[in-house]
Amino acid sequence: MRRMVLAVALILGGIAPSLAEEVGYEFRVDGMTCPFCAATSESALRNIDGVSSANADLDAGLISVCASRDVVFTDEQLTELFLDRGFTYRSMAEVSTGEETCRGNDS
Amino acid sequence: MKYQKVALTVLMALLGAAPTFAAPVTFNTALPISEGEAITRLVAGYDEASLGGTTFTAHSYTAVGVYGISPRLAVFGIVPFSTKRLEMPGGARSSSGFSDARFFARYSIYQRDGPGRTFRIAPFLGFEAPTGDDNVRDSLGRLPQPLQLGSGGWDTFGGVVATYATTRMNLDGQISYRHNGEANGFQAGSAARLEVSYQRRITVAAWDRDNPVFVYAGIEGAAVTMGEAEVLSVTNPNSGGQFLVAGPTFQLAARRWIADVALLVPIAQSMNGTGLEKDFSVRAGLRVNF
Repeated sequence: MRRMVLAVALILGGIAPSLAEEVGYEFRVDGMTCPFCAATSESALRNIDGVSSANADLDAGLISVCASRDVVFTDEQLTELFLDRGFTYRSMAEVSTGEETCRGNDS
Repeated sequence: MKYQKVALTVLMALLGAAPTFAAPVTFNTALPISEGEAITRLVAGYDEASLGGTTFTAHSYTAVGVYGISPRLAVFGIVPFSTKRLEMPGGARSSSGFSDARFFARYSIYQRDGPGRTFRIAPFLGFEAPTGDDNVRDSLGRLPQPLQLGSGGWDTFGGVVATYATTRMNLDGQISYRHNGEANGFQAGSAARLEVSYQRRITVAAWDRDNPVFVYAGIEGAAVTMGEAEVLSVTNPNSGGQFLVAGPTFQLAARRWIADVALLVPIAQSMNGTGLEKDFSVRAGLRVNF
């Protein structure tokens, strides 16, 4: 029983700090209409150091991103990133801490 | 093992990084090519035309290479391999080999994006180089011009393509004009084309949440008018004409690949003189993104 409690404590102790350091964002990106559009945009975002996941909602034109709090996104950076892929970046919003949005997101 | 690696590298180079968005099967689209992205698409085609006891068939295998110089400017290279056959009451003649290569550039002049939708207009301009053999012969001598693999001349073409796309449908339209150069005393007539394609997403066949496959069904058509050819500066009354073709298309579009097929049959045609009439055309394409 003690071992089990210790194991759970270790697991939680290991996960909690990383979750606390993650922030969830929503990027509004216009012009994406297909699975490939989503894939190429998600891939570009995941290539940024500190981004752990990126998932596009094509119908809404939104990409949900989980990233380390150390990562700084700027409108200029995102405008250029999506422009190079043929899409139009509109806006960015910090939607939550990682614990609320990024938990269990393993993509 | 070494050969396997080489083969895999060649295969990846041929198929690599294709954009898997729904698009017309038989003509271009105005949808974007990312900057620095290299694309190849492979298309197999079959065309048949006939009149009386004469039948012309053509199998083609075409490699299309695309490179995005900038988000607005893309260059295309098209290399077809063709097998042509003309069957007549007195026998058959045929040819097989690489045909004339085409190169063109497309530039997006208008782009209006919204959430899950886009509208783009892109003119294009290009040429067809005389890379195919224009002096193919058999035991009876030089093959007639329709069976030659290359025209021998430099041809130019241009036009404009427009695309309205949402996550549920794509609508593409293209107008183009082609001027054929003269070679070997022969000059094919110029051609103007109006092409339209509509693709409707009918379902999403997802193996899992992260890998949806968009399934499209659509219709594609082309209205074409071709001028008469000239042989030694004399107009050939049995060449050129007008035709309207249309037919269904079917596409599967995933994150990493797209497969498409189209069947075009004549709706109306008025070919000059004894010019062969189109029976049907089939196109099947595959793009893979590694």
